[in-house]
Amino acid sequence: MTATAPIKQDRAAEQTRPRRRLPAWFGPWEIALLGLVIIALVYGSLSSPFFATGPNFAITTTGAMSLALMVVPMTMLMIAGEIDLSVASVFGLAGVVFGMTLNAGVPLVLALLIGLVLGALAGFVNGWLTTRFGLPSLVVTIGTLGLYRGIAYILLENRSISSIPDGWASFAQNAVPGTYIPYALILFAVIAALAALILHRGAFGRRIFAVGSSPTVSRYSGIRVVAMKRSLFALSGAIAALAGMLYSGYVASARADNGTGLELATIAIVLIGGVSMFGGRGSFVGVILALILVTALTSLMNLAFVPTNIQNTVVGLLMIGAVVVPAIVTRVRLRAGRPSKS
Amino acid sequence: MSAETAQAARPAAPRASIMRRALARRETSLLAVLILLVIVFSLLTPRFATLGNAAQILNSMAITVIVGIGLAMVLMTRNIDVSVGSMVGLTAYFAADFSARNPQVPLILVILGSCLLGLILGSINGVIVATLRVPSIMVTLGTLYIYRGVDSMLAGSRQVTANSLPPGFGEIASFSLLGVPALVVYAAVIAIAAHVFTRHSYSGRSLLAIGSAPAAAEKLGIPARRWVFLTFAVSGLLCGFAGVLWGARYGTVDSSVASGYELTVLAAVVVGGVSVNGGNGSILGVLIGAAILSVISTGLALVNVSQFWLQAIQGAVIVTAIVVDALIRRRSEARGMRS
Repeated sequence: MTATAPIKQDRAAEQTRPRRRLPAWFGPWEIALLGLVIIALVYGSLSSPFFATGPNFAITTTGAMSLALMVVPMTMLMIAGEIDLSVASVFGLAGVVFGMTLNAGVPLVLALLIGLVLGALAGFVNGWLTTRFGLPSLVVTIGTLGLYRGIAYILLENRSISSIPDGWASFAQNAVPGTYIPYALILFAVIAALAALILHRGAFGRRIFAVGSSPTVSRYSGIRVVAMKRSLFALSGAIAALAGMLYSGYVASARADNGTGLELATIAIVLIGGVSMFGGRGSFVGVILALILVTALTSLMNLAFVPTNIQNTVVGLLMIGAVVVPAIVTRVRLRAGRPSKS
Repeated sequence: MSAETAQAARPAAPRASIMRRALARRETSLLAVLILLVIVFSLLTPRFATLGNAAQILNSMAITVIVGIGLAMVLMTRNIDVSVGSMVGLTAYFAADFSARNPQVPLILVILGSCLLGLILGSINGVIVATLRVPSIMVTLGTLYIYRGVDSMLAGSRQVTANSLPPGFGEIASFSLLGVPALVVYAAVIAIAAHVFTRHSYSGRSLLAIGSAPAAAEKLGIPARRWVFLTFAVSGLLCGFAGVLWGARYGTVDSSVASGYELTVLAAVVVGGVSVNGGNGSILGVLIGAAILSVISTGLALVNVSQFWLQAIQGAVIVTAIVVDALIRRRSEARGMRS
């Protein structure tokens, strides 16, 4: 009895205190990420004279765009409580098909359309298998990860297609003339802004969160869960395909092994961004901040000639930090007798 | 304490036997798939149904079985360990590099050292997951990168080759016991031990209990966190052993050994009917799952299918296996409801 009294007082004090609540899309997690981004940028500018320069910005963001694009639909999918491990395989497959259709003399715009439709179809198959048979998407997309990558190998074996039209290659590689803003960054910004609006400002976005928190309740309240999940998977496939085609323009070559392993990097960024593995929680702002953080750190380490595998260690440490720190904070709060808010 | 919980668990026995029967049915259907594949390949080529090829198939699935058993136990508790590829890679480099530098050290110590390193790596996963109760996919996805990074720091761009290894090192994987290849012997011993543990001991059964109903398991007094920790530790230990075997079998070890291997192992385990949602699965299933994948890859190579077709066919098999599995489960659940 004596133990409960101070807690009550504490709660009362909290209620009376005039305190503006933080918006759902900008909570403590986003603030912490923003802090880390600022630290990384300041440290980078101080440690290397090349870090805070226009050319470095252009090079770094151009290189990061194919990964960044895949992060967008993965965020929505994971908030809805699903996951897509096949994105990097769709990425590779779309690049291969894109290259082959271009080789066959198909005009660029049509080739891009074919790639997008193919990606959407591949994603829809994931969604269909998941919802039709009630399977965990983790397992389904491990299967299609092999299947889609395998089809890419069947089509192109170990050859590569380097006859990517100059127009597309320069779109993927260059910045807008006179600036350091890559074309690809503009493409990403448009897609990301649309996704953020849908997720945090529209009815559809609210439903995505609802489905992620409780699919059963959502179904009973009239949300078409199956249709939503299928369309999110299709979107994930289409954007992965777009990223794959952009990447084959960026490296000016389409190969069956393009983007191998990128699925884990994509998921890592979404998780560092504070999206819950179990769905229903997360914000687009957090994920974008995580993307900026990882990209800035990558650039920093590139300037210091750190090998890629060791760079990935940093991503790994960030991921562990992303789960361990909140868990410890919750613990400490509980021990201090204050219920955690989340 | 344990007698008390055993008594408390008794009323749940009839349910367990239904589950056991369902499991038996699962493995029967998987076995049917395996036999069908063997028949198809035997008809396609006379080179398939030979003793030498059987040994080849068993040999090529052995390491996947060893790692898969650890992963299966983790999955049973409704957790996942995606760092297995990195743990195999790191321990493989550690063991091979150490043995090449210190050829005078007895190989049994090298094997034990590699197992110990694996145990430590797995325990790190286990401690974080069990004490902080955080999603294991995040923790092990993190350590996947970290362990691979440590591997790269150790190895740099160096490579340990078979020539630089002491002569006995390859023997670890290449000797044969009464005509049975070494790798098969190891895998069989580990599989039997794991089968007896998970199927016939109270502790082993509690892994499935934790995975199928964590809250109920806790009320029964099952120390869930201890078991979750231990399954991760065992997964690491088995990866450590598999690392030595990898080095011994292939001879060449660099920092990229077994990268992406987690997906191969996960595929074998999932095809073998171990549920990623916990509470379901068996060691026998893991063996059959690994065998199905191994038969497919060996068989396709023998019927001269281009190596580029392999991955797509494997992917298609995984998708088919899980869909068939879901259909069977749905039917048996419907039947269970009616009765």
